[in-house]
Amino acid sequence: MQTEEKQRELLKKLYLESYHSLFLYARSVLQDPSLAEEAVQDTFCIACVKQEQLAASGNPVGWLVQTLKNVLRNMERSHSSLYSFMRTAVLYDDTVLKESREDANVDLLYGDLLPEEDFRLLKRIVLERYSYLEAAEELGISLEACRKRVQRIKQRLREKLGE
Amino acid sequence: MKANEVFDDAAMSDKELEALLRLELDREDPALTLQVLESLSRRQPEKPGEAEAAWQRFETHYLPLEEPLYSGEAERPARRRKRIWLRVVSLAAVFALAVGLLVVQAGGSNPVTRFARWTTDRFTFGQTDLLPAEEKESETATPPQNLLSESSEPIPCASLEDAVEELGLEGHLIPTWLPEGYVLESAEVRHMAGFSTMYAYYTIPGEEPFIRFRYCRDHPGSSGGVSIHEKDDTPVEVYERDGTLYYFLSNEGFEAVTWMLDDMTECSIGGELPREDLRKIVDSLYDT
Repeated sequence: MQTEEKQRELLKKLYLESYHSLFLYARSVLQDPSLAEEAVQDTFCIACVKQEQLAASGNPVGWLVQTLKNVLRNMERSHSSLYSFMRTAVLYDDTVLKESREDANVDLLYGDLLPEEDFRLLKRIVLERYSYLEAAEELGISLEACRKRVQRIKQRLREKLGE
Repeated sequence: MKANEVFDDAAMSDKELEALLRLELDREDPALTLQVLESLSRRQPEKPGEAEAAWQRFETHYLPLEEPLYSGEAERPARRRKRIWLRVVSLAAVFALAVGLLVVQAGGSNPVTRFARWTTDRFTFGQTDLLPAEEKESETATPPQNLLSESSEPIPCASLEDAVEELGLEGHLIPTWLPEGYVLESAEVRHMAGFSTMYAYYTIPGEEPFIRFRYCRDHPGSSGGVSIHEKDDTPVEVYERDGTLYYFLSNEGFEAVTWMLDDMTECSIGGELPREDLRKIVDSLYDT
């Protein structure tokens, strides 16, 4: 059984060797370097959790590429889901339907649904395509805290929209 | 692009290579993905210290995370898979092919040009000939045609019905039954050069499992493409309903059903649910 130190060394070696290729793939799909790095970092988080699987695959780079593909699909699905919530929230309020849908007016739409701080975070992630890390740094919180906050926002919207 | 064709990147720009990678997200050709990545990496080499700086950010911000931001197992568990495409068409596939031809010809329609083929670990609706593409030799290397996306921004849809309408499809495509608790999480359509595709995800709020609907329509006149489904060695079940053949596949706990709506449109429904539930969903497509 490899020591944790040895495992970290091996992972770092694989990381340094494959980061650039994975980043290029993610950037091709997401068209944004910050989001691309987020996808690659998350892929390596998964690699940390599944080191045995990675080692047993016999093709670590192929395993990483396949995992990255799944991460990219899930990122797009998650983003699409959050966008649907925001869109549903727009339709939820009859008075809003008659107003302009421009982003500048979207600030008016969520007063009853979300606290301003939560709404701002959702807007950053969904409409302005911030990575979780960028949003976390802006708010001065950790990446983990940012991720959990977005999950709670999504849950709260689900409850309020009756889904 | 056929699997054994030589990938000629000399004629392709960086943008074209990137578009090809975006396309590969929906299709499965690991060898092509790696070739394109190698080509792009040569053209856009890593800046000095780039990976090392990224590793520092990884250690600082991402470790230790309680769990990753996104799952790495959306559709297929990240397990070791044999990547050899067995160059034999199974007898079952030939039978399904024959049944398909009989059913369609009995109806008076033109014969379909897509036939179900599978091995122990892959399933696809291939082209007219029976042999897998890898059997053929290509004399010239041809860059992929009509594969480059003109506009692939996703179009969000409020419902599965809206997504099917956006895709321009008609037929038995909307279920009237789903397992209890599942609600629509998201639906979107992408129009690519050569084909359009729709994804709709249903989930139970607060839970991980999902049911995914994927309908993919080739554009008239395009060379079209195929989806390759990974599967385990559970026997493929063929179910006929109103002249359409539904193929039920298993992949280590992920059940899927796939069928050709017409010669241009491939459909699939999949999720971590019992095959019996998937069959009920298929039957409910015919409830009016």
